[in-house]
Amino acid sequence: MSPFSAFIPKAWFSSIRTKLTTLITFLIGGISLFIFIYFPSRLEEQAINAIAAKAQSITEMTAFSVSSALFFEDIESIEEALEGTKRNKDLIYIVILDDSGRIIDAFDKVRAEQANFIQPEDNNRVSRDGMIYKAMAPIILNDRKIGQLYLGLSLTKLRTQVSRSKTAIASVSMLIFVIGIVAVFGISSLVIRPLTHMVKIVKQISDGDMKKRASVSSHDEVGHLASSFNMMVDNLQREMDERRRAEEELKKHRDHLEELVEERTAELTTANQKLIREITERKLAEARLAERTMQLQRTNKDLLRKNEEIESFYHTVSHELKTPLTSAREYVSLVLDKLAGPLTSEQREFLETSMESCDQMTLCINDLLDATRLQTGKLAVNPHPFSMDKLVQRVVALMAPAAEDKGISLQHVIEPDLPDVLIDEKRVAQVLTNLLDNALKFTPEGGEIVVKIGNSPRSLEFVLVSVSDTGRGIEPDRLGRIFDRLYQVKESDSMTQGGLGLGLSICQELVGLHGGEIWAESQPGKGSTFFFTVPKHLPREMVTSGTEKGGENEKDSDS
Amino acid sequence: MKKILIVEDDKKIALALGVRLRKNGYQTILANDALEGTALAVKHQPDLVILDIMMPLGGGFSVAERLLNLPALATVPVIFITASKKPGLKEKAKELGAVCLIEKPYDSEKLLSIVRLALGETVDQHAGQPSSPSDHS
Repeated sequence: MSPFSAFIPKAWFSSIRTKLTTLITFLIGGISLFIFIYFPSRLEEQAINAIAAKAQSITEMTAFSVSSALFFEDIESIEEALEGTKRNKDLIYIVILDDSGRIIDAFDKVRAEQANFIQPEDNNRVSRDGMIYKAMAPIILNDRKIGQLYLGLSLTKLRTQVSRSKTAIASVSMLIFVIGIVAVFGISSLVIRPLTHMVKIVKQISDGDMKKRASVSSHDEVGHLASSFNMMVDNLQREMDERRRAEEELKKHRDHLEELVEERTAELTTANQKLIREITERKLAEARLAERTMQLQRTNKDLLRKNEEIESFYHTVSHELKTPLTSAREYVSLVLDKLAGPLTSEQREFLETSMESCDQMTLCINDLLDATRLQTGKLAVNPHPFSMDKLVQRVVALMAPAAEDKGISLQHVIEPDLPDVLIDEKRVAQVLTNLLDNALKFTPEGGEIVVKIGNSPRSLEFVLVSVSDTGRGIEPDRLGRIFDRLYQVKESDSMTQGGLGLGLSICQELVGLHGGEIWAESQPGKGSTFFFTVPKHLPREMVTSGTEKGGENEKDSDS
Repeated sequence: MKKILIVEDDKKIALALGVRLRKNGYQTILANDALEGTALAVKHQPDLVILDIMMPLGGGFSVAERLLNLPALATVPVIFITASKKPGLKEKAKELGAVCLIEKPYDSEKLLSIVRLALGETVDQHAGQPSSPSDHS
């Protein structure tokens, strides 16, 4: 640390410039001072040495030149010999002494005495005394000392020369010092200023002003430093820009992402709400449906119960009707069978009519019951394979007595090799009986009824049954309505023919339950033909067929 | 003489049946309800029981069931008669081992022939072929 540090603010010293300047200043100052002190003293010494040597040689030469003259004590020759020496401008005095110490000759004796010329000793031939340089030499001739020569030289001129040289040296050292200082400041401004500039720039940049750049004023190291620094800052700025851009992009992306997420969330929420709404609606609909189903089930149950009730009621009614009917018929039968005594033919005839009425009434009650059961869906058919041939023969055999009684021919024609049919034979027998009953009812005495069984011309899967009579026939406009339920009830002639008019409707229902069809053709005045079809028992259903069961039912239908 | 128990709530029908069967050489016992029918069956040990199905105080089926549970009467043939056309009756009758179920109004001749059949008698000349259309309507 500089000795001036106590006077100079610390901050000032923290600068390289100051340090450098101070250091170099002191260095140059030192050098200048050295030059200023050393060279003048050396110069003076050398000058004095030169003077001494000169004084010595002049003294010795003069002593030699005057030796012979002195021997002879020839003053004139001594003067002559001294002439050359006297020309020396620096000469202050010359004194020649003889062996005895008597002054033989003296030049400017006053100045010599003033200078106390004998001062120097023999052994020290030259000496300095103020501004006079004193010298002494023995005058020797033929190895014998014959005298002594004293000489004094002025140092004034030398002094002037030396001081002049000193001044020059001082000027030079001063100049060197000044030049040195200037050079220091020049160097410092040349080297330090760009550095300071850079320091300033770096500080500004570090404070955030990335636009600042160091000015490159030279091609030296500092210049390279500045340009490298600028390049570095450029790179840095580029990187920072890129990073900022990337960050901005990232931020934008993130913002966008957030937007996207919000958007999606909103969409999801909407979808979710919609779904919830839908689920709620569906649940409501399901609840309504369940309620409706329950209502329907209740209604269905009610209907079923009502059906049961209706059927039960009709069963009770038919039971209650049939019980007295049975009684009535049985008592008539008892009388007819003569269990109550003999009968007149007239009585028999009347009682037989009564019996017929009873039977007719039984049929009516049965029809009513069947119609009700068909209506409530309680009457089901139980089809199984059965021979149509057998069925027709049995029904015809059953009806034959009645036909015979009425004088009507009852025939049946059966196509050979007919397959079995898939039927509930009791129900089909009921249909056929009903049709024959009608035919007998409407065919006059002497008429003809023909039952025909054969393959259906319409479908290979069905057997066609037809009942033709030679009755009065049916008007075409009524033909389509004869199968309507209760149709006959409305007609006036039902009174003459009897029956509730349920028969054909029941037939249609029963045939329908078998999957068949029933229809009628008629030519008024000539007769009618009723047709119905029943399904054939096709081979693939042979497996499930039960002929044994059919046999049993056959027996039941007899009872 | 074979004893026939007739269990029938309609007294007129029971009476008519009784007359016909007695005229045909059978002894008849009449009961008006199921309880009486069972009691009389136990009491008289009939050879044949004719049961109406629809009766108060238990129908003909309940009588048949009780008879089946009595060792002495379990093998007595039973004929059901009914004015009802309810489904399932015929099956139930068969289940109880009945000879036959006859629908009312019945044909007297047919009934007699079934009675004879049930009693194991040979059908004589009186029993003609059933010809009434009443069963097939």
